[in-house]
Amino acid sequence: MTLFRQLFLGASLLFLLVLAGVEAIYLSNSRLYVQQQLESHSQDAATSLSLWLATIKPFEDRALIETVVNTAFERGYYQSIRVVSASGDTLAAKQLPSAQGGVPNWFAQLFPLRPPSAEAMISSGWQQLGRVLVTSHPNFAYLQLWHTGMETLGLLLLVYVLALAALRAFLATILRPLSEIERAATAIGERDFRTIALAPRARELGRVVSAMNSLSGKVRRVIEDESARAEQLQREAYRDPVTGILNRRGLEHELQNLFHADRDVYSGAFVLLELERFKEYNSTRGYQRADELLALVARIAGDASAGQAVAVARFGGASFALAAVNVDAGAAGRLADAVSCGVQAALAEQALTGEIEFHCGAAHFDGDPPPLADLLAAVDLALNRARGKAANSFELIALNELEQPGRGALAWREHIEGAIDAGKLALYTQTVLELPGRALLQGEVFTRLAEDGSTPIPAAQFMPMAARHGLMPRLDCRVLAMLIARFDAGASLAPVIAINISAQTVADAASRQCLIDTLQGRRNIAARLVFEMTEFGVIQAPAVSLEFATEVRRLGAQFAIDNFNLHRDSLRLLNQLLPHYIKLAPAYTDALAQNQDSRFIVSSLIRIAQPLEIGVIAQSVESESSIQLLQDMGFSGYQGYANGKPAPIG
Amino acid sequence: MTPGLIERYAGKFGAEARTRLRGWQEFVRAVPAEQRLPGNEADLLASVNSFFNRLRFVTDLAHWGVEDYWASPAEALASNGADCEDFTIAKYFTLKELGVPIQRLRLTYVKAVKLNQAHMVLAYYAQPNTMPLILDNLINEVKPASERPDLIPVYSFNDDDLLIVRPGQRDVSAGNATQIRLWRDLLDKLEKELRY
Repeated sequence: MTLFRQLFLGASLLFLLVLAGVEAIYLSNSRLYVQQQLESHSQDAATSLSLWLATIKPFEDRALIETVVNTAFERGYYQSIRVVSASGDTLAAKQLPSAQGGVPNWFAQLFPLRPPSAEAMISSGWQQLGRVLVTSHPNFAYLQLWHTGMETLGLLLLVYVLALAALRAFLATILRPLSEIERAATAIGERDFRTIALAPRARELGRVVSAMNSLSGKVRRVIEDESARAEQLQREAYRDPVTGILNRRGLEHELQNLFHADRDVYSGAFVLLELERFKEYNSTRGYQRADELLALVARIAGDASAGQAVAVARFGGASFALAAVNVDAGAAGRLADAVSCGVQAALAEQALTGEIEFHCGAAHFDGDPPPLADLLAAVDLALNRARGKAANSFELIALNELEQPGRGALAWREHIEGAIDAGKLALYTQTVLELPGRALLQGEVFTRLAEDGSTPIPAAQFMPMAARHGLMPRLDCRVLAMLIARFDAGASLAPVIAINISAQTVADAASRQCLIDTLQGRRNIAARLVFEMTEFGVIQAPAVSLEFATEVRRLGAQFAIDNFNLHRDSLRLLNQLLPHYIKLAPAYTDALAQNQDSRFIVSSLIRIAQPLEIGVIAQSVESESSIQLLQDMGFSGYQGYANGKPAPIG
Repeated sequence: MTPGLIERYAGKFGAEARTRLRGWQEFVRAVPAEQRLPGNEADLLASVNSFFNRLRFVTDLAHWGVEDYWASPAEALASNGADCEDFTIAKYFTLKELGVPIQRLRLTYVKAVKLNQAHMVLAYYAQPNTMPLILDNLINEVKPASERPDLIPVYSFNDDDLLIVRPGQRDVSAGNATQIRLWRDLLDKLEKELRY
């Protein structure tokens, strides 16, 4: 019950008691007064009758006495009138039953009125003639009491209602700050560290508000400071100071992580543009002009790739690289062309044509991302070929990675579709252990294509194909259904199971609904599931990802982000989505051991994640020393071959 | 009447009060048994009337400083001053003490024709419908009312009248308001006196 209701109920009960008390006192006093009135009325009647009767001569004339008595009696105020002679004989008597009309019995019982009797002596001169005894009828008194009681009750009820209305308004005003505070408290509980704008007048509330604001503000400042720091560190580590774009390390880091998101990445291109004779230009024109030129080229590369998800980097002293994912060979060619033309035009504008030459090489891959070294080798080859041709030209090489000889893209599609329909999917789990303590935290599910007569095909090999053909939604749904079937069959599974969902699935409303429906009504299973999306996938479609996260949470499951990379946008993601945990991109795990910059950056990240109650888990952990480092840095858990390889679900 | 009361009034009104109060005690004790028997009231009434008529007559205003003050018998004796109501009251309570039933005694407001002023006397009714005997401080003799043409009766009362008796209950609630106040105060005073 809210404070408002408690106070309101308490006060209105109190009012009711007070008013009931007032009514009772009033009625009680009225009763006394009416009783006294009755008594004096009796006495007055007796006295006046005695004076009247005293004039009757002779006094023994009963008929006359009776007439007098009747006259008085007919007025109806009396219950009995009796005239007694001096010697005790009753000369006249009239009675009326003490009925009560118009007044409920319980009222008469609650406020009893004694019908009073009064006597008066009838005397003439010195002579005592007799006595007259009068008993008043209480009925009129009852009626009067009843009516005034009801009137007062009505009035008091009106006062009560008005008082309640006033009380309600008063409490609402006083307690308004409280609802604001409650809202803020709830928000803070949901890791939204906001401040309360108002300053309540009540001292206690004022103190609570300032304390909450102070704490909330502190947490928020910590997060903001750490975010700024992390950004700063990233800039220093992964950005080129002259041009402001990624440096080589940054791009390689980025690519390694991108290529790991096998559910969401199924093709890509790498474009390398190299400026020839840059050294001479530098010595001739000075480093300032050289820097300007570099900045110009960087800007042009950025403009040429505007609107596409492309990473632009300064790859070497005078080389620039662009990397794009999920583009076909044609698009790759167009990108390289756009950049080349742009640079050419810029050089012409600066009247540097002839002084500066460039060459452009591009490599495109389809399906499974190749190792970065292979990709770079292919790009180098392309570049050399371009050098062999005219100046300022570009050359494109396509790398078609075919792991399974004899299968074209179409054949892949059929194969995968067939496997999904027939349920020829093998589910594997890899354990994730907690830090510290190394207790079992969860098991992550990996899907492999079951092949008759040979080892199952791992995800890295067939996922990009599935993604390319838009089969991820069906695959993800099927995997979830198979997993739930395993739950029902009583397979021994970790207490928490993480299942990967691709961005394609989440973006498609129908398949989102399919996932929701599969989980509907299975709250006990949902409580054991965590849905993971890659960071790349979330950035592609932040709005639907947030919707998806909200929906699964409503069903009792959790949401997490996989393959987390520290971008400028990543930290905003954390605040918006508030995932249960994030799994760092595998490249970080090695980087942590090797360089301090990465350690700083990741420490910052952990410090940001902590107040938001987001766990940080490392992937591809392979050595014991890594595990120790992770524990010291404050990771929540780890996953990798150090725990063992993925094993089939029993 | 307790010794404590005697001492208190002696302190208040002087040493002679003690004498007078003791005298009253003596008087009551000394009433012969025959006078108390029914039928012999005439003598009893006469002696009571004479005893109190020795008191000095003085108005309430002069004696007590207030318009209307009903003194208890002890007060009247101790202070050696009484007006007509005090006389009547003293005689009433003494006779009551001596065993006369209340319904025979009535304190009666009269008009004293000769003095042309309001007055109070004690009327004794041997039977309810007979002519009463009058105990008055104007004359010493106790005469029947028919022989007192100088008194015109107006209103009479006694304890019974002012107390409405119902089975098990006794409330002072009827009668003239002034009377009730004065009578009630008087009763309270008498009760207090008993406790000294």
